[in-house]
Amino acid sequence: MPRRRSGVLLPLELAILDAGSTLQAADGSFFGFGLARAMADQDGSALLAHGTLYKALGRMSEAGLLESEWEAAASAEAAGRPRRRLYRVTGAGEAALRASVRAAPSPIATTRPVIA
Amino acid sequence: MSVESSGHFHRAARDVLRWTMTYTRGLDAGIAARRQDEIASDLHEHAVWAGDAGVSPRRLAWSIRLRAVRGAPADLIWRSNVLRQADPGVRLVLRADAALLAVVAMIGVLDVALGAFVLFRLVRALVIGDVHSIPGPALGSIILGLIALLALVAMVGERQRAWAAFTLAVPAGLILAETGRALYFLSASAVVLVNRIPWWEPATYAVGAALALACVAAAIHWLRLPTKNRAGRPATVHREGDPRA
Repeated sequence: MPRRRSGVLLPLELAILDAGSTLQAADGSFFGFGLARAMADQDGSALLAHGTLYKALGRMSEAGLLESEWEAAASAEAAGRPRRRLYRVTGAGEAALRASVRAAPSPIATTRPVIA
Repeated sequence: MSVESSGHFHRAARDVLRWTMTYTRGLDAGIAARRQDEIASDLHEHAVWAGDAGVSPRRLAWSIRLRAVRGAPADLIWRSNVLRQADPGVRLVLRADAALLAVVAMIGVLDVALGAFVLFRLVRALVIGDVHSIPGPALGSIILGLIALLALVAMVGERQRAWAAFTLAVPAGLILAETGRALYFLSASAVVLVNRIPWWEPATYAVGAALALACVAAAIHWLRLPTKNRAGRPATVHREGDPRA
C-alpha cells in the first residue's frame, strides 16, 4: 500500500475537521458520537462506524490536529451517563483545514465554510 | 420502556463491548481502557439520540451492530498499529499466544473434519448397502469428532480455553487411528492402503500423540496465564440511572 504523503489529509480527516470545527464553535468541544451524527446529518450518509471514527480521531490526535480530554467524572455522573472524551480542533488542525480548502476547493467547498 | 433500557439495545451494546474487549486484549491497560470507555460512551449517546429521534429499539440495535461490523477492519488495523508501538517483549508474547491458538484450532478443525468425513462415509455405506450395521471404529471416530467440535466451540471463550484444549487432546490423540480403522469398513481404497502399509497404525498413534501433546502444552500455557490477562475488564452495559463515570 502506498504511504500517504506527510501533511496530506484524507477526505475523512477533512470532514472530521470541518464538522468538528462547527460543533466546537457552538459547544466549545465535541465528542465521538456527536461528531458522527453531525457528519451523517451534513451529507446524509450513515453514521460512521465505530472503528473508522475512533481510529481516525486517535490518529488525528497523535498528529496534533485534535486535542482531547476526558470530561470531569462529576459532570458525567450528574448527567447520568458515561464520561465523554471531548475533542477540540487545534490551531494546527484549523490551519490544515484552511490549507485544504485553498488547495482543493471542490470537495470541501460543498460543505459549510467554518473557518473564518 | 425507553430505548436505552430495552433488551435489543442491551444485547447489541453487550456484543459491541465484547468485540471491543477482544481487540483490545493484551494491549497496554490504559490504551485499552480508553478505547473501551469511548465505545461505552458512544453506545450510550447513540441510544439517547435514538430515544429522542423516535428510533425503535430493534432499529437502534441493528444500527449499532452495523457500525461495529463496518468498523471491525479499522479496529484490527488500530490494534496492529498499537502493537507495533508496544514493547517487543509484549509483542512476542501476544504473537506466540496467537500462533498457539491457531495451531490448536487447526487441530480441532482437522478432528471435526475427520469425524464428519467418517459420518458421511457411514451414511453413504448404509444407504447403498455396503454395511448393514454401524462399525465400532466409525462410531468412535464420529464421537471423537463431536468432542472436538464441542472443544472448539468452548475455546472461543477465554476463560474455558485451557480446559477446552485439554479436552481436545483426547480426540487429537485417538481420532487418526480410529478413522483409519473406520475407513477399513467403509472404503475400498482404505482396505488397499491398510494392507499395503503395515505400519499405518503406529504412525497414526505417533502423529496423534504429537497433536495431543501440542494441545496439552497449549492448555498448560493458558492455565498459567494470569486470570486478569485472560479475562480482561468485564464488559458491562449500564442501565438508565446507573452512571458509569
